[in-house]
Amino acid sequence: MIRVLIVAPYASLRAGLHALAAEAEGCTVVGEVGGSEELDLLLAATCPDVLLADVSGGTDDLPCLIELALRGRAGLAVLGEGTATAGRLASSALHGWAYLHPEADGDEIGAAVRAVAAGLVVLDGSHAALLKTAAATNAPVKDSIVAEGGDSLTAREREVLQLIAQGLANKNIAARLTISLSTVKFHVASILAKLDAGSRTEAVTTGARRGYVLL
Amino acid sequence: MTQETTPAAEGSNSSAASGILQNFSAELAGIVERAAPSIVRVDDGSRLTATGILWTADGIVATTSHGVERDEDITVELSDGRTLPAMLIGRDPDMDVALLRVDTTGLPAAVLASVEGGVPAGRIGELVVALARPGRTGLQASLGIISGRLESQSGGQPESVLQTDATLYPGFSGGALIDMQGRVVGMTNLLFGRGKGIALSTAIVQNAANALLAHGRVRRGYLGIVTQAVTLPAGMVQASTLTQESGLLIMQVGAGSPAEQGGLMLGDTLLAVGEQTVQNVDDLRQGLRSHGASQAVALKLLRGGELRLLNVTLGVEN
Repeated sequence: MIRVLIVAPYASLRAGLHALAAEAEGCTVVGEVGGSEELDLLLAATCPDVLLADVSGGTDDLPCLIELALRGRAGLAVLGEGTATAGRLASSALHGWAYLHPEADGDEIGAAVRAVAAGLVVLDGSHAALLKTAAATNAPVKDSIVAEGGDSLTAREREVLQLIAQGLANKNIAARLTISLSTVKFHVASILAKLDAGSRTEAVTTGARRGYVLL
Repeated sequence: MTQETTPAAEGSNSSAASGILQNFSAELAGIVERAAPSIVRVDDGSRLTATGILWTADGIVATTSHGVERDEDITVELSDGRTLPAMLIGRDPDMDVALLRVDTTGLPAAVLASVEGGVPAGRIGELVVALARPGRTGLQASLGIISGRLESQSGGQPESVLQTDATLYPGFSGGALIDMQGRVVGMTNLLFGRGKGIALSTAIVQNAANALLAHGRVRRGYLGIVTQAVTLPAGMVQASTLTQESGLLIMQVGAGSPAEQGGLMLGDTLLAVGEQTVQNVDDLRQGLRSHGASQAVALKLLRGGELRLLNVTLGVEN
């Protein structure tokens, strides 16, 4: 059986997804969480094969979900809208991922979860069309993220980046800003995604060039 | 003039050449065998593992910062197969160096090349071997020469970035570049190279290691400014002695920062930090890197269309 963990910010969304996933062939639901912070706590205990996440209300949590899916060696099936999400999934190191429209039905979700568990990439028709449009206008998906304004760091992210530039470890950043370690990881993942950086070194270099880092 | 050789002499020459090659090969394998115990595998739980160098016998491991992006559950696998938990002492994202500690002693530390005559080791043309433990494949070696050097300074200390034609495979980041005496002359880095073989000289890693052990971070010169690269007016360049076409417009001066205390103002255009001409942010970072904290440095800038020199004492970011 494929172990599915539901991630959605609202109880109603979680209940709906839970019911659809539980009915899907070959799937069993091992838990539900509201977001990445709860997921961080439950990941090791539940060992999911696939995270089924609804990000239609906002994609701020997506970098952290990707990070946690990678850490838990799980696939990620996402329900949401917009090319930025597809870009982030495509540029991640996830072994299997799916990007579905928020209105996807039980059959589509079940098929996507099984495909993701097998290490495949799934895009539903409407999202595939978005990517084709981006390609036709010669706009790479990653640039679409920038065009949507996704690259501007929040004030908190700038604080975290400044501390990354000093070489502080995650736990030291957490102590300095009196926030949880999970929140620091979330911010770091978001900074790397927004700056299109593969490492802290790259993030500091790009951040300095864009005027986010005091030198 | 031609030189005639008899078949017997040819055979003798061929045999001598073969002997030289066999000796060279055996010597090379011996160098690798002696250095191998100091090369460890570093795993931060991500998909790709990195390599590390046993810097000291009492458990200090040097590796790349990007090899330990996840810094909570790092493990180090020694050459004898033992896997030990490792703690991150600190990292220098500027030079992509991280220092780890494993709780054990009596380890086979690497033999480190020292700075000789004010110059870090590793001459262009010198034979080197890149050593690493990528993934689960065990020790891997790659032969080449030092094909280039880029000299720099940090806090007044000489540093070099070495370029090698030895092939660096995925997982070689944090590995050792060793010379024919078996000394570590550099730490290999795939991130900086982007396809080329790049190694930070042992001097760079040692300077970072010293600072991380002493302070938990590398304290480089800090001004406390945010800047934006701008093109200088052509007329101004022609009318003055400037040899550069761009500078850095100061967009923000941190409250209480060394820049503010030194008199830098919003709207100034920075042109040089000490001897380092500044045309972009990377130049500024290099200029600050070459000076230590608490060091006084002359800043050349444009203010209201006029050239000015300001002496500013660099600080440490807190």
